[in-house]
Amino acid sequence: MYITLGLVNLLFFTQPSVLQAKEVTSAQGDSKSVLVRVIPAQLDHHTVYPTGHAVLALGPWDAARWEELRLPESWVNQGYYFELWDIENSIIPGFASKKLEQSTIDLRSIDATIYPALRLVLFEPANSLDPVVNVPVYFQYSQKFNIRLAVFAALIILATVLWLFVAWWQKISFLDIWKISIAVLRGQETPSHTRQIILLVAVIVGWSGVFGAALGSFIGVIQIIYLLIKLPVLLLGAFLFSVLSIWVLSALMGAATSLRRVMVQALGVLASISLSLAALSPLVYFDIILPQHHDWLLISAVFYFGMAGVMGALRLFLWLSQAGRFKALFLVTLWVFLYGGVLTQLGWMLRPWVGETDPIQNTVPFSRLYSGNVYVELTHAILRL
Amino acid sequence: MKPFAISQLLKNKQVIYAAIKNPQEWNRITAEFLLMAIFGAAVYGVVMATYAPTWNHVLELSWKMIVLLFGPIAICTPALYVFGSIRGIRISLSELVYLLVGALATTGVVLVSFAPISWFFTWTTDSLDFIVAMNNFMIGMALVFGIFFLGKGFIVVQQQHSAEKRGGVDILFLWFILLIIVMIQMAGKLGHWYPMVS
Repeated sequence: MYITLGLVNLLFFTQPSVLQAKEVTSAQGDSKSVLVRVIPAQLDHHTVYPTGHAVLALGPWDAARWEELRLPESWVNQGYYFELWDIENSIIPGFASKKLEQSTIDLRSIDATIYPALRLVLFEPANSLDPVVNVPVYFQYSQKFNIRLAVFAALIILATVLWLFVAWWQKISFLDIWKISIAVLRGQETPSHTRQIILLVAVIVGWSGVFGAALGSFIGVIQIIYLLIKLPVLLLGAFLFSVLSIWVLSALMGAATSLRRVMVQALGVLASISLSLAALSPLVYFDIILPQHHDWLLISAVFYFGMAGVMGALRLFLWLSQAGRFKALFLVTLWVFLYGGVLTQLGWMLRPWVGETDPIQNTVPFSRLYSGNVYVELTHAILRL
Repeated sequence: MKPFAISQLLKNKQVIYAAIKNPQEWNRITAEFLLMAIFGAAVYGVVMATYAPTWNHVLELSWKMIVLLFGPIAICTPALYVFGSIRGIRISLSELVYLLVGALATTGVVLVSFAPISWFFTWTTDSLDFIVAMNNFMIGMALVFGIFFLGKGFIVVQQQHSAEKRGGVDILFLWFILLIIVMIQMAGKLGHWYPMVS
């Protein structure tokens, strides 16, 4: 019996127990349930009651969200504690040693792209009745087509085709892109022509792609492809959202002339940031080769991005200082606040940037669907300290 | 064809201030400024409503924003005239109204410029507390730029009337506090701005 329990212990706490789960499709639209059963096991000479892992089988165009966990009524208010574990049997943050006081547990705070597999582990205190184990436990989730990703992909394809058409029409070559990269490095003013705007976009896409290729090599080809798409979207997307407010506020401060001039200046700053990122990519390769683990690489990437941002702010300050150093400093702060605010949130939505291979799907997701707000998450993280 | 007043507001404010002494220009400029203020407030109201988008909610927040912008300014205008006069600002009521409409237009322009950023965060955030704080901050910032326009206008009027260049503009700080208090009360009076989302 002890050998059997020991084997059960080994089985449950080292391997994903997907064989104990069964999918049941409910009749409520996109909602589905996974039925799991409880099999008692021994942990440190105590009896615990883990379920099997409920696993989401997601395709690349699926968007899934954990909804709730439905437990037997007979377990409620019996003094039991529960935890939720992931596929590697680590506790999910926020679900450690919680008292079981209701039969449904809200799972919407758990990101399904980070935790595609969950299991419930029930603990009974001493002097309490053993829980009834011949009862079903349901993990409910919703799954639907990822419209947001599809729209995003369509916009990217449309923007790329449009840019290629305009580049062909304007007869843009690699030599032109190289020349304008040198002009940006030397701080030369670029004229406010459509051709210059197209060239600056090419500089941003190209040189940020170098950094993306370096960072993506931590995972592999798929992450490199993802970052070649996400990095230019991050830099240019934040620019598109913030350029109007940057122009209006700069104009009200007496520093800007036309919207086109502001756009060319802002794109020049982004080009400086992209060139700085490309210059830092050997450091990223070095970090990966060392090798460094995921968390250190993530901190390094954020640090390098911050350094590139400082270089962009410096370039902007040098351009604006003709209007007076104090005004230039105020305007740079304004630009950093507006652009940086949007960039941070967009960067949070487009993560993972370094990424970890999901052991279930054996891939890394393009983005986290339900990312929330970065400032709210940071506030919660600080309050939890 | 004369350039739009809003265009002058962004490119060369001196033209707007110079028109203070040219009442023939007032009708055109004031009409454009009023339209811009109404448009800016309505657009920002539409963006705020995207948190819980229904047609009713969109229309409701559009008119509420217009009332929120115009109402407190109208209520506090007599106080500004009297406080300014006591502080030493020599300005006629018509000149004050002209500058206030310009301040409203400036606020409207800034609100329109903030609309893409506000929409982005409203679209990507579930937290109602964050949305409320962000919108309050953006409306406050837009008002500050309006006050800057008003302050600069006071200085121009003062320069026309007397040798003292900056006298009395500091009264705007006190008046701004009064305006914020009235706006908060007005916002509460206008009822719910965000439906309770379950």
